[in-house]
Amino acid sequence: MSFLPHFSHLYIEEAAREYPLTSELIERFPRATVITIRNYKEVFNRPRQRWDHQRQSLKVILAVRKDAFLYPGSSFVPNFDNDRFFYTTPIINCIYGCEYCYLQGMFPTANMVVFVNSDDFLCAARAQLAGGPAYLCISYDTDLLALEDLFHYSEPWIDFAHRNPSITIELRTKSSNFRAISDLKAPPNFILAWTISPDDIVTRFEHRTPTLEARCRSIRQAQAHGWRVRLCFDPLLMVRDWQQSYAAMIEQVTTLVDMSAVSDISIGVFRINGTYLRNMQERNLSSRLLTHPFVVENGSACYAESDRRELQAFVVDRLRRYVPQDKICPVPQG
Amino acid sequence: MKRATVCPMRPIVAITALMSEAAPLIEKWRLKPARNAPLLERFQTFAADGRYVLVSGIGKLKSATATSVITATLGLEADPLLVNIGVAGASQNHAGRGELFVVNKVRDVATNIRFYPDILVRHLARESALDTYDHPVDTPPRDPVLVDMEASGFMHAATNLLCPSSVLLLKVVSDYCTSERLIPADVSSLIEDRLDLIDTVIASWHTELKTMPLPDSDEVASLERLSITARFSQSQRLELQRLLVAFKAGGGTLSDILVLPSEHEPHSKYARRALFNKILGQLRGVGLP
Repeated sequence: MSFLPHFSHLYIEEAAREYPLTSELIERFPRATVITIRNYKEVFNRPRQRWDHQRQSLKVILAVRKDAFLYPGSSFVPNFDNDRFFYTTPIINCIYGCEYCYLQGMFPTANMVVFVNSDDFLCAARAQLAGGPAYLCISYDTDLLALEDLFHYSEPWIDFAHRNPSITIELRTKSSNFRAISDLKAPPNFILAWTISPDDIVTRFEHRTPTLEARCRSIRQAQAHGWRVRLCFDPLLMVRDWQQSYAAMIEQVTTLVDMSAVSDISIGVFRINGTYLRNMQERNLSSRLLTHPFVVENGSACYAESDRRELQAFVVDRLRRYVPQDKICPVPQG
Repeated sequence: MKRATVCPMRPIVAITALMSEAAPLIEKWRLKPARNAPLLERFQTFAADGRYVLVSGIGKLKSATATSVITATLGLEADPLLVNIGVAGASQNHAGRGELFVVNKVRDVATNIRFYPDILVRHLARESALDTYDHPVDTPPRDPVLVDMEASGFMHAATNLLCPSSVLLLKVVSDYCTSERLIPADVSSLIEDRLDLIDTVIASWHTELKTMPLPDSDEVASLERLSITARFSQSQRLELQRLLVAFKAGGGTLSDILVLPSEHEPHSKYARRALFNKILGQLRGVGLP
């Protein structure tokens, strides 16, 4: 025997039953066992859940979000000079298993919640636009593009961007699944933001994610289809031979991607909420990445300042050989 | 430190309401009466080679009590796999007599509290939700659920103590909730007929859902001795304990790295700090990850 495949079970809120998307998803997972629940939190928030066990067989919880459709942007992520910065979570949790990911410290479970009232999220975003132009990140607590074949959640936001020019939407991803949206017209106010890491970091710490080359191929396709592309060298990690790894990565990326067509490049050294880090350390005891002696500054755990500076300066310096300085946006630390 | 020691083998604990449900398991696993823990004497308990069977008696409170007692006796750090095994009622439309189910949802009918064990491992049984009543049920349920009198008590206790992937509920359909009464031999026979499948499901759960290799009591004690000898501060001790857990989870053996001959005892603050950093480095692994 072995682990059940991902999505072997669908936990469905009673209130989510009436949504057409729920019926679609039940049809899309015909072999899944359906379990009815009252509220997604009674499964999602169970105490003492084991991430390492659950990661082997992820379950999907279909739920209705009742409020908090948009959140103000976090201080841990850059706002790219947008004052009205929000993020939204149409899906919670991710199919990938990046060892450094804050989701492991933020949520008590590895299982995914898919909110089926997607129109309510779009309405909330539309209402926010009454207050002026807004910048909205839609793929922070998940990877929407990686899940596009299953849930089709990027598509309505792309359409929303077409209809609402005063919003700028960022979809952050590590996937190589551009194909899933390649037949859609690229809105000028929609940014596909790829997180890029050296191949040895992908292999060792970004479990189940596409290779660097696969991501670059997807980026190239997106550029060919006229999409705005952002590269995110974030988080930079202090690992063995990091200089060689990041130098090789930049060589590879600049060979495979049209750097002149990249909108901007975000660079951030690993930093995380201190409480999340403690949770992650408890949940992933064997991770050497997480046992690093991080310093905690203002509740944020990060590398020592000299390491941060060295890491960031190295990558910025290398990148400057290929792209103008004004396209490089280092993420402020702390 | 939350989990300090671990048994070499993760215990498997089956909790049944009736002796007639337990008997086939006791025979298959060749268990003997266990009398080495005073609290366990309150229940009929059988054990051998890391496997336990407890007969709790009928009802959710008895099941909860037995579950708590055995878990406390083994210690949370043993992280046992707790299995509630027994017979259950069902409607004729939902299940056939003698059919084995893995339970994926338990509702306590009296309180409407629901419990969800993690179903992560492949198995060959059907799955079902189950309702736990405070009294015998003599009307077949209208919904496609099983009915029993223990599961919610078992889940209440088990999930208060352990993770939801450390619990498993296996029920064999015994009746269609009529006034017909089962005799013990029938109950044993129903379990007996599904015993191979029951054993396979338990073995799969036990094999796949591994516990982390954690420091044993000797290793914890050695680190503590070293910390006292070297006069490490409380925060230094806690940091070493935390890293020891990570070190073990990563497959390390403390005796391979930890040597403190008495002549190397640090005699200055500087030497103490240097020793602390040296051990820290050894536990973290040399260099960057």
